[in-house]
Amino acid sequence: MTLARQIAPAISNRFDFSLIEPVKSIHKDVPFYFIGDNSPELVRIDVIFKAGSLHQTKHLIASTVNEMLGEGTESYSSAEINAKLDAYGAYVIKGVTSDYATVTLFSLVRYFNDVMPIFKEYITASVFPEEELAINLNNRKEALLHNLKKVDFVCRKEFSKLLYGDHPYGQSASPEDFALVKREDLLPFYTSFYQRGPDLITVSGNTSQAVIRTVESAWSDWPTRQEPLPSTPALPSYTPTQKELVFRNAIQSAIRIGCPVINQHHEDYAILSLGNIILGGYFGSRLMKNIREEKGYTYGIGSSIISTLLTGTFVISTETGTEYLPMLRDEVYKEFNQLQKEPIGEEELRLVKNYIAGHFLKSMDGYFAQADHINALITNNLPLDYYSTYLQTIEKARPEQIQACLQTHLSTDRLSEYIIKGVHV
Amino acid sequence: MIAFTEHTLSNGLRVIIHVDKSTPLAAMNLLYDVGARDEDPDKTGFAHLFEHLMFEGSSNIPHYDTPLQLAGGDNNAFTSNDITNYYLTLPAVNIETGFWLESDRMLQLAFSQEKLDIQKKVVCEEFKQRYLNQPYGDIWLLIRPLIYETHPYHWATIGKDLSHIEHATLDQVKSFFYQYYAPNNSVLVISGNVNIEQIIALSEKWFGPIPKREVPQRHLPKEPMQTKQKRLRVERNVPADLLLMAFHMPERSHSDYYAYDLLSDILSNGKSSLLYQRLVKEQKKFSDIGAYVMGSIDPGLIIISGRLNRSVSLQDGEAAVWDVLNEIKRTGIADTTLQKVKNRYETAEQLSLMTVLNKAMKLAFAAHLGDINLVNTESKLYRAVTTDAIQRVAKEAFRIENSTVLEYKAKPITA
Repeated sequence: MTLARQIAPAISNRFDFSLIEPVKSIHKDVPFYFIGDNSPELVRIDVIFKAGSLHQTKHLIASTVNEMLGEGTESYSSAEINAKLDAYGAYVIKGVTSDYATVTLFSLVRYFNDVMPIFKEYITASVFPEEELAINLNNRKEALLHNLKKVDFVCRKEFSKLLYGDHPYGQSASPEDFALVKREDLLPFYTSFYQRGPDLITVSGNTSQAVIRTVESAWSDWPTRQEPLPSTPALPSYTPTQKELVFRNAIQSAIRIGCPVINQHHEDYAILSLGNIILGGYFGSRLMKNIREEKGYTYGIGSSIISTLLTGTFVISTETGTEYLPMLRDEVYKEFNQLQKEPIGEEELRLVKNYIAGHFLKSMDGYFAQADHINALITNNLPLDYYSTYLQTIEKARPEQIQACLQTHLSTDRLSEYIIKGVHV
Repeated sequence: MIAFTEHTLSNGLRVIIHVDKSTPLAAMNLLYDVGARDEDPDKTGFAHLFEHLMFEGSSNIPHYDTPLQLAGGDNNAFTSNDITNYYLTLPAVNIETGFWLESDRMLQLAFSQEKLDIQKKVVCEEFKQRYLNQPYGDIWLLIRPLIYETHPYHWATIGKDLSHIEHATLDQVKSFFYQYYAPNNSVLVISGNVNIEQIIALSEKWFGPIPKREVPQRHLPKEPMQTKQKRLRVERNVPADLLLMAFHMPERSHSDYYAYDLLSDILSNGKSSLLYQRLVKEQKKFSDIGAYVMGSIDPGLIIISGRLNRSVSLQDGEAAVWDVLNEIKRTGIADTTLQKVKNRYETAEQLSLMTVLNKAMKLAFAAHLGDINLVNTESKLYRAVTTDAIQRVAKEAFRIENSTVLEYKAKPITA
């Protein structure tokens, strides 16, 4: 019998989606989540602080405080504490967004008891030595100068400013800002936003009783949080704007189109995010199909909605040979408008729903991936069953509902646009 | 420990299965033993361009991505100088969709001039985006031809220049396919929530009928031993000077590979690493510096590259790097230093075992190297490296006559 290769094998549209329930405990107002079992040889700890750039009053303060953790503490020099952590094979990864700062530790279980006190010192006892600060600022300034030669980096930076102006969500550092950062700026921020205690601790991978005990006792002498955080600045009113900047010595241009939108707290968010995925959120999206796969104007194009504490942000972004720029731009608006003009066909909708369900399954693969989800939910004040509700809403979504939702939240006249136009001179 | 079962089909396709019941997913990795090193020197960039065409439909399935997405799946691929590797993940219940798709594009691609023309444009945009329109993006285009004079690592995977891609013809595409995309030139790995019998049956069903193909014997010219230093100086529109130093080292399957890999970690993995502590922290000569090995199938490279601080000349920076390298050659390294990088290797290794896709890729690559069980034995080989071995390979590699130096100068700013 010959194989009927034209006929696709039967598929199931229903994928098991069962999140493992994390164990929760609370110590001095700080929620601890544990997700794992006794078998992994690694422990990961995420310590998360409400210490993003939203809370800074001067450029670079939030990121510099985060960067300077472990660059000299009460008991150890930078070289000493890093040598100690490295010796155990431990990794510390730090990061800051507009809303939060995160410090993540990866440690082998067998060294965890030795690593934990060093990690605690790393986070809670920074002293910000002047010399280390100067090195750090110099190196980050060099890295920024490097990035400012990239059309996509500059486009992202300028686009945020276009949307949010002087608000921390719109601001990012310029090379001259580095000279203005002083040790005296860092200390009060560190005290107010780190030493007051974290907002969340997540432990994943190996979560044996011994690990749990070590983690919980390490933070037992952390002071109870009292001071409320200063209120965050409100977003400015938004006016759609178009801008273009000519960039010399570049053979490609970068373009961003988008606007502020609702965030995850809005009841329409799931449907809106579905609309975004259809437009530009996966490899088979309309933007990719048309602009890469049919026209060949770009290596990649995509759209996304980023949900932050104060707002959501919708953005379409791509890089293209400057000669294709006008045609590419026309096609982007054509696809954007088409989704609002005509409801999506059933076949395409089924595909996107299955793609999303499968994608979620993949993004939940393993304890560390699940820890990422817990962190995202808790820091955004969302319940742990948020994703199952989200997926149910997506599964039930109707074509007209998606169309109406896009018309309500993403009308064309709300869009801003920033073009970094590469010219080869 | 990654447990695996191997099954070879009569057409030569090797199938490797790893069962992991803790996940609802399955991953599929299909590695073809063809890379940029197999290209004609006048038609470079071809293996990679071909990888793009593999997503443009096969003889029985007009679109590759659509049915996979409908099955809840996700996929990608990459091309290196040695291999072309395709991978996908999907809910394990839909694993047969992966077999259907991958076997059909191994059986026969749907060739068309129109699709080729579009992907040539896409690859040209990729070339610009990743190599020409990035600060320091052309480093590998500059330095490969200098380091490798006879071996085909001479050119980068993307190709020597845009014209090679622009001139690719449909006939070349077809002959490339029939030469290299063969069951007897690939390794298939399935990992995840599957059963061994089920996977063997599916492999026989979908891949079994594909005929064995005549794969050309590989006769690559060997790179002769380098006998004197090579240098290149360029000036570009970048913000800071960059120094890159490359040294020849053995191939990935050589027993010294592990010592070289740990040597590169001693130099630059972590904040306590030698180059970082000396040159970034103490001497402040570099704002950023790194070292790494190229684990290539044919003899590879150990690379050191860093961006210099403004007041420091390239010459001065290079001398400072040599000081560190000479010190390792002269006095070796402490036992605690070696223990440290071994521990860091172990953490990174454990981290890489966390997803089914990573495990599938590791198995495929180990099979390609000639021993699937390397996925389990390599950590012992790392553990066995001695301080003497580190010093010995440092002496072997870090010789002036074994080095190629790229001085990448920032163009002075003109008004």
